Amino acid sequence: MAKEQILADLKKAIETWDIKLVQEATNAAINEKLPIGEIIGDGLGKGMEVVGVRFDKAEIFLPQVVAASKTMEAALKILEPLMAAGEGALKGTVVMATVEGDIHEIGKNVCCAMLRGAGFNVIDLGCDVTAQDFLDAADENEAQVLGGSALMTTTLEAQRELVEAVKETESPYKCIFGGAPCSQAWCDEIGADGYSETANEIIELVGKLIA
Amino acid sequence: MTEYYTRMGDGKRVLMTKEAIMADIQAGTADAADMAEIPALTSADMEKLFEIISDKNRIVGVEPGKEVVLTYDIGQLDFTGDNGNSGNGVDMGRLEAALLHERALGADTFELAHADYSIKPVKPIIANEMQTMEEIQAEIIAPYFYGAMPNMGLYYAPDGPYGNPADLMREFKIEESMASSEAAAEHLARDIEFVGTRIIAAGADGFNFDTTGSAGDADCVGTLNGVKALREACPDAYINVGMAGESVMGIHGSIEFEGQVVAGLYPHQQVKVAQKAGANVFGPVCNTNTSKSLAWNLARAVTFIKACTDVAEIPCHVNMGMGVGGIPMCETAPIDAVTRCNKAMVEIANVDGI
Repeated sequence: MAKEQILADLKKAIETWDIKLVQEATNAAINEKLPIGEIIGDGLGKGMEVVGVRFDKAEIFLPQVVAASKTMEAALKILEPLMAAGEGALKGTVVMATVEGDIHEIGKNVCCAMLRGAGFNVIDLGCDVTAQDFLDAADENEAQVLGGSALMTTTLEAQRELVEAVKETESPYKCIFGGAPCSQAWCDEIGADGYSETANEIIELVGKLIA
Repeated sequence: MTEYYTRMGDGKRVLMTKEAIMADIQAGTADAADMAEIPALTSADMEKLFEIISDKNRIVGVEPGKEVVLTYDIGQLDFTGDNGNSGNGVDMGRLEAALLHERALGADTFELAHADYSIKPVKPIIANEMQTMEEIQAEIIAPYFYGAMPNMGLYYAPDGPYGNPADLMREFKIEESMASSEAAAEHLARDIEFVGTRIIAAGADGFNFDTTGSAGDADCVGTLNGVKALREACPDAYINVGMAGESVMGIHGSIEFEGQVVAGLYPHQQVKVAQKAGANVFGPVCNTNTSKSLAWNLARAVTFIKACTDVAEIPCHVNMGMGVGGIPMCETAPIDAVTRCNKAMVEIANVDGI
């Protein structure tokens, strides 16, 4: 099968959350000896970009994003032995959670799905998570980035506390934040490493920080 | 350069020039227009909005003859609830609260509410609510409804019998998550019919559904099906469908009401499904962004609501309060912002009530 066709199938499989197609296309890509970076970056990743844009436009919703992410995971599972053999790897590890005092996690869940779909290892700690729990999970999983979501102005302070905890412990982690009351100005004020307004933007942001 | 006192979305006082206010008005209306694919405000509307925002008076109002209906949701809880529940922490009975709203606060309608203000917990105590409804109806003159939030989250674990979609999604159990939403929506519709028909039999003039869709699209569909059943059972009831936000969240993603996927519907589309279900009045909502200015939030809210009133065949009573309708999100919303937002909704968005 032509390389272009394989990449198109990989992209289409993610866009349509078609697990059977993604398995066929991933196996075809391996048989054709396509580099893993190309399989993920130019095939699967392109599909996830489309999913992100369609989610931003409210053309698709949470279950479809999760389904696309699940499709991506099916592909990554096939690629796993090659990755372990050093032919490629997940792009990095991100610890994600809704910050302490806040239980709103829909936005965070979408971000997790988008990051998984883009080939990152995501450790989702759920909601109402303390700064210490963020740090413990990051240490345990050798993460590079901590992502904290807040829906309320009253819990924005917990984002500041996470930045301070990272500084106090001299941890190497980058802190990124999002959520309805969060903004670039707020992230600048608290010394965060990045701000993502949408679930789609987080992929590029994390990619830049990990690069 | 002249600067005007105005607000941020969290209520903070700020000084802004005309240019800055106009830039935020343009950005706010453009945001709504882009999201919902609706017309942005006209230049005349934006100038009018600037006049309202920059008015030197602390409190503004509409001209005599342009007043609209003023109704309330959350019942007596605006007094009796604590400050975590939009209330003032002033304890009083439900009768006293109803008469106070009618006779001192200018309420054109009012409603009876349970302390939890949700459909589900009312079911086991419906007899008590019916008794109270009868007693207060004997005293009050204004139309007196029953009010509750559909609040379908209470039907999910750990509070209810159905699996929590957020948890199931995290485990990639997508079909199970969607099935759980559908089952909860059916349960909600049954409970709405149960509670609604009984409270109306006890003399309620109608039912106010507050924050429809707060648990996502299935919550919205469950409510609409409940409204439809209630309309069939009580043809003369006054039914108000108030929403939770400017867009219906797609937690299920494809659940439909009468062939219409409700996820992602904006106010001008939401009103059509509410009409179809049998609502007499629609309560559109636009949530406030606390990091943006009053000008940005109000322009955005007015844009959504104007598009809604343009197509509505039933009256629209826009939700105006802390964190909605352009009003800042803070415990006691500042009166300068509250009155400006209300005036703009009446004079630019053409709402029928507040």
